[in-house]
Amino acid sequence: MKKLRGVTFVEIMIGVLILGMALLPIIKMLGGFSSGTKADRSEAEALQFACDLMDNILMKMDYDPGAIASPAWQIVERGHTDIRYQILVRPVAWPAIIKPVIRYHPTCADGVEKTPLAKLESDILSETRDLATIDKETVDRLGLDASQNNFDLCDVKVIVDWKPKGTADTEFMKHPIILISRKARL
Amino acid sequence: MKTAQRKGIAIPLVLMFVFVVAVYFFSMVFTRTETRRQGLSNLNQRQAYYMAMGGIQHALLKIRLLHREAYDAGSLVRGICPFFNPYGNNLVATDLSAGTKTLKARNIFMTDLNSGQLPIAILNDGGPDFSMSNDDEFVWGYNVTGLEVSTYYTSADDGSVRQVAKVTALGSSYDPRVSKTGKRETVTKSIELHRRIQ
Repeated sequence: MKKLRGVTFVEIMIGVLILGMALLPIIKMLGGFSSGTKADRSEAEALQFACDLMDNILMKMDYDPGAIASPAWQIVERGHTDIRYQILVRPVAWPAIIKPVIRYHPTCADGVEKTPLAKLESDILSETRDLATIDKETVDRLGLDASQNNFDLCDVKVIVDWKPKGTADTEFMKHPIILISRKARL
Repeated sequence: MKTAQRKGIAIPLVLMFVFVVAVYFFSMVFTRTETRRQGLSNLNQRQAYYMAMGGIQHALLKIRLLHREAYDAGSLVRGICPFFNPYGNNLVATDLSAGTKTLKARNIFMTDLNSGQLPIAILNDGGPDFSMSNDDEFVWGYNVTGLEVSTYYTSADDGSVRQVAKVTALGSSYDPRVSKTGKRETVTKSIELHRRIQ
């Protein structure tokens, strides 16, 4: 009996040792999964933040490159994530603009276009004008206030850098999110 | 007899344990990989989406600048005479089967509505860490691919002819940090064009 008990104890110790050796990498892997899941969640939150920021710039903010731009890092917290972001803006100059010009032809009764196709297409011309000329023509034609009638475009780049909350600052710059779009004065 | 039974059950127990642990870890690795892949795909899709949105903004600006030309082009797409005066209770016809339709004016209007004519200038701003480049196949940019008039009507308010048009832009992006290939995304926006009598 005594001998048997001694063997059982040794077996248990060996079992615990083997289990411990097996559990060590398992626990390590679990930790890796856990931090990976946290990183995924933070990245999703950061992406949502970047989209909200870009939507706000495109849909809600007035066209004012100076007011939109934020070249220094701004720091915010969202959910489980520490976020810092930059907004870069670069005005874009329009080159010459291509527009269709349709030669006048008598209007058709009830509005339906009845001009033969060949004749109609020969009356449609392409014209290239620079913005300043078109702008001036539009202002003159519609009697608009020229100072309010700027047809501007700018490129916008949103950079959102993120890390899971509570981690070291060295976690920044691993996977920054970059969104680029173009905004018009509408 | 009893001892033999105990020894016999140990191996199946260990194998079962190993199997369960293996399945558990395999599913975790798979889930994690899949979540990561979806996250990156989502980011890639968003990048292309905002490029397409840039195209929509460009198109809207050109329509604001050349609203009469946009109306005329839309009219001819539908077979409506662009010079038709809707005032004086002149209702525009609804049956356009006999009308002459042409895309020529619309195509001219859309010729320069793309980032090829007006390249995205901000790709490299922000330093090398945030610099974006173009691929042979995928470039950062957009192309306005459609200006379709879906319906038109004579407004009861002021008697003007109004067109409900859809502007479609195709955006593309390429971020090698996210994916080896780029992404394309289409955005459509409905707008209303109407003839102004001056």
